[in-house]
Amino acid sequence: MEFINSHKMADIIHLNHNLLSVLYRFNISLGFGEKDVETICLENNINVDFFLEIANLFNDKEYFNEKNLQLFSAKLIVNYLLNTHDYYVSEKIPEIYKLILSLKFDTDSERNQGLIKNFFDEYKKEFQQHILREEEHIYPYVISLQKAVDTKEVSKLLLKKIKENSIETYGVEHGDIEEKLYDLKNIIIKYLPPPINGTVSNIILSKLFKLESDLNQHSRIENKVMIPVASRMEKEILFNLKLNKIKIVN
Amino acid sequence: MKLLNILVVESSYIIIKGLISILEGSGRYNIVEKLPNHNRANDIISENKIDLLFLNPALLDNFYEIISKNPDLKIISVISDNSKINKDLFFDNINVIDNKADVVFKLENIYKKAIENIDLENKEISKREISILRLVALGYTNKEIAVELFISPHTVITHRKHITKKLGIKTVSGLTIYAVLNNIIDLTEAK
Repeated sequence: MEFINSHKMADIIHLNHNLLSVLYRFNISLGFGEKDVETICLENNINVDFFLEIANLFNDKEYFNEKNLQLFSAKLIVNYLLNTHDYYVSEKIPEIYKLILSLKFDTDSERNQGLIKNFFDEYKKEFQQHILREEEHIYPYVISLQKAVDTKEVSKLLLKKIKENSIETYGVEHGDIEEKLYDLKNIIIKYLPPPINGTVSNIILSKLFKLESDLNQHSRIENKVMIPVASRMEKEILFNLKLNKIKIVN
Repeated sequence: MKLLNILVVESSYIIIKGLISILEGSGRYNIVEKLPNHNRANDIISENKIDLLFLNPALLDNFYEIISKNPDLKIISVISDNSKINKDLFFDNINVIDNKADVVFKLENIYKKAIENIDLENKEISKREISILRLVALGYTNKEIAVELFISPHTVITHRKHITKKLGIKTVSGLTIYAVLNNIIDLTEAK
């Protein structure tokens, strides 16, 4: 079923509690009372249509509608992606890390714990490097394209970037961090001796599976929404330049 | 029994319902997703480990792209009209006018053929592979391993592919953990 603006926010969460993570990303707090989606979004200064598009995407994988999402402004999309990064770095990864530190084993406890801890440390580091690259290079570039389109002014530097390093050449690479996550799941499922506190490894695993599918959504939005939107703006800028509809500034 | 992951791409509601009920009844298949058109097929194949793709051949115009990106994917065409297709392109072919005996027989064969190709995963790693895994875990490059074991770098790469397939571990750090847990290397040796 598709969520619409007149649905009560509380009902939506009852129907699919996975949407709690979406609320986090939009910085929406609980305590909705009987308010509907539109009212909650208005109160929180959130674009209702965008919120619904994301909520529906999380509710039903098949809902993914890149054409609809591409209609939203680059700023809105990038902001959402940034908040998602924050959700991973401030919430999900520390949660899993804490659980990993609490693992205890019958034999070789220190060694086994150290192995997993070091592995996750590496994963964390690569994850942060990846995010940093996006936040320092790719996202600001997309935002500056939007600004150029809006103000009809393009700086020489931006123009150089469009011509030499277009968004397509960035490509959004997730290969290595995806592989590490895959390995970690298999190591826990197949190879690590069962910990004394067995439920902990179950909780870790279910969190890893959830993180993995969330990351897949995230890269889908990057690849199928952000990159096409940026690419369209690049073309628009170059085209308008030919028509003298956009000014080059320093 | 090994479950095979299936993607079905078919627009006909009747065919999709029928196909899925037959596949699910056998207990050998896990239907990952069913799609009415090819739009998301590539994404799903790359995000999940799809073993078999049941496909209405009329629906896939980027067929060759999918084949070239996923050389291991086995594609079974589900033929529902009279249009001529090149049957050799597919791992196998099922026609909607096939009777029960034909369909059961074909599915039996498809499973057997597919599992033969995947069987590698169920095998233990060999002594040779263990010696290579040991060097990988100690931080040797493919070239260094080739020199150390008197084999070609190409052979090293083949062994490494097999190791990854059998263990389900892709990264060097992951392989190192496996090696320590199974006493193939000592923690003090690892970097």
